[in-house]
Amino acid sequence: MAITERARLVRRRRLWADALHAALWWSGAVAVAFVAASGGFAATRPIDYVYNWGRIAGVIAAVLVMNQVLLISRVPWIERVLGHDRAATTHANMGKVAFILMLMHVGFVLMVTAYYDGRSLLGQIGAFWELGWFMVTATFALGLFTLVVATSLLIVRRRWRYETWHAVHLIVYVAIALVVPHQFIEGSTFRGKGYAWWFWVMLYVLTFGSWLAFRVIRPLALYARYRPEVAHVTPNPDGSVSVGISGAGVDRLASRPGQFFLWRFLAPGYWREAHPYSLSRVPGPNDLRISVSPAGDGSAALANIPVGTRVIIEGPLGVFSEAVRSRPGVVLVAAGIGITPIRTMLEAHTDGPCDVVVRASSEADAPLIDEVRELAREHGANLHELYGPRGDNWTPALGSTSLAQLVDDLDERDIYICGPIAWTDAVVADAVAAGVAPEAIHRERFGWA
Amino acid sequence: MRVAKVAVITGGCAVIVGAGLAAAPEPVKAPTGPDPAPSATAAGAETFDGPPISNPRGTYQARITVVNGEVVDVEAVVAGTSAPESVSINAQAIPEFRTRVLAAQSWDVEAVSGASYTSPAFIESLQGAFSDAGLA
Repeated sequence: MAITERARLVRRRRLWADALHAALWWSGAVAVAFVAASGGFAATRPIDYVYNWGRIAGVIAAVLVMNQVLLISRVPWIERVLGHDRAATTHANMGKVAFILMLMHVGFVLMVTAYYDGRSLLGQIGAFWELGWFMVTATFALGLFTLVVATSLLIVRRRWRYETWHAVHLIVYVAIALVVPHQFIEGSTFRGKGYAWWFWVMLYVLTFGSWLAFRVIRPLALYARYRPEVAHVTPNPDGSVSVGISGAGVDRLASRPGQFFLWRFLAPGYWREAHPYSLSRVPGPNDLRISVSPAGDGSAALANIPVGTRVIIEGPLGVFSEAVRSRPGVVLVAAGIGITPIRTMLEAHTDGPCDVVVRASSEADAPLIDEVRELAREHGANLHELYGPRGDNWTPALGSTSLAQLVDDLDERDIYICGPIAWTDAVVADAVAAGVAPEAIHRERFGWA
Repeated sequence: MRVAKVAVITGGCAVIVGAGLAAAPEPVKAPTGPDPAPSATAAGAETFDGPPISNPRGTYQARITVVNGEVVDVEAVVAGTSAPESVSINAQAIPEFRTRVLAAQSWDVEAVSGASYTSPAFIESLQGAFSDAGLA
């Protein structure tokens, strides 16, 4: 592909990303405009402003929650434009803001209406509940949102296993179901069945429609079409496991090399959780392959998954692929099991100079290294194998080096990095220090969400 | 480029919210206390207050003015709370009730739409006022 063509695609993708960004903000602005149009900005006394802000905070919180659902709905135009992990990061950041706004909404509306009506805070809660069941469910939803946010903060500190956190995180859908009725029945902005009501309905239809279409219906449709199942489980010398999944015509899933799928193995003890794994080989006509290190609880158990187990697949996901390439050559950098998308990209590499950097604590600990060597030879790529205990940067303590020392024309390359988060950060910092432009640095973090 | 993007997004938000504000209804002034009798009342006018009726949206109490067995005025002693929404809803609903009651000469009038808490409470209070006045 010509380099000008690449540059054009990158520009177009950035434009779409900006448009998406604007749409998220403007959806919030329209909601606030409807609050204004319903007289929600009118105030005659200073305390009215506190009440008004309480209303506005609630509306913005709801818009953010809907944007969050949209961001993790796996709708293709978001996955392609933002990328899976950026969408997940934005999702998480919005969640924190939305929760703070929810607390403001409840706190301000409760305190100010208690003042208006001359009740105690407790009396006011009772009065709200008297308005109807939808206020009771909304109160309950606040408790559930608190639980979900608290566990999300805990997982960041690594006190919870991903699998446990994810199970708790699903409660958020219950919370949303409990909180929505009061917006339509009690919310002064939307209950009037006017334009605001329709706008609000449309937002919910769009966000939850996307979620249903791409997180439920599409995976089930793929399952029905390809009937994927585990064909073989092969232990690798380094301790990782390669799992082959067969299904007639699965290569029509049209993944770009480097992308990943979410895999849900339908066997006792596995089916509850879907795990993100990159393909570790370019798909054959009827088979896919993933390679998994024994890191998470689910990943360790994959060594024992029975052959013949059916698999539900979501994807392909992510923009860790040629889709984001903007330079004539590439540098593919991997640590540990992060080799999987890198190996696949190397296998599909056709165009421009290519360097592959493999980082592991020892040669024996480097997954798929034999395949990588073979492919590097085939494609004329320079392979740099960096083994040894970690030092004070991303390279080994002994023989410490840097991207600039390994690759001469770094500014003519796109850098693709896949590995543990802290290590990836260190490689990114090295690339930035060497003067690589941010849009030429691509990282894959196996995101939560 | 980045600055332009932020400017477009922020500007767009300002325009959208501005349009909402432009569509906002005229703000209603909070009542400054019970109205003095607005119309010139004929001699022999009597006023009757219904019972105060409370619900989660506040307390409502009707007052009717009767001259020679004819209801000539309807007002609220209290209606709702001092919340801006309550003030604005009742500022529309109570005059509407006045018109309906004066026309029907009865407490049994249609509820005012958009005032689903005011209507039943105010009508109940009206009923009490009518019954006090011996008008049933």
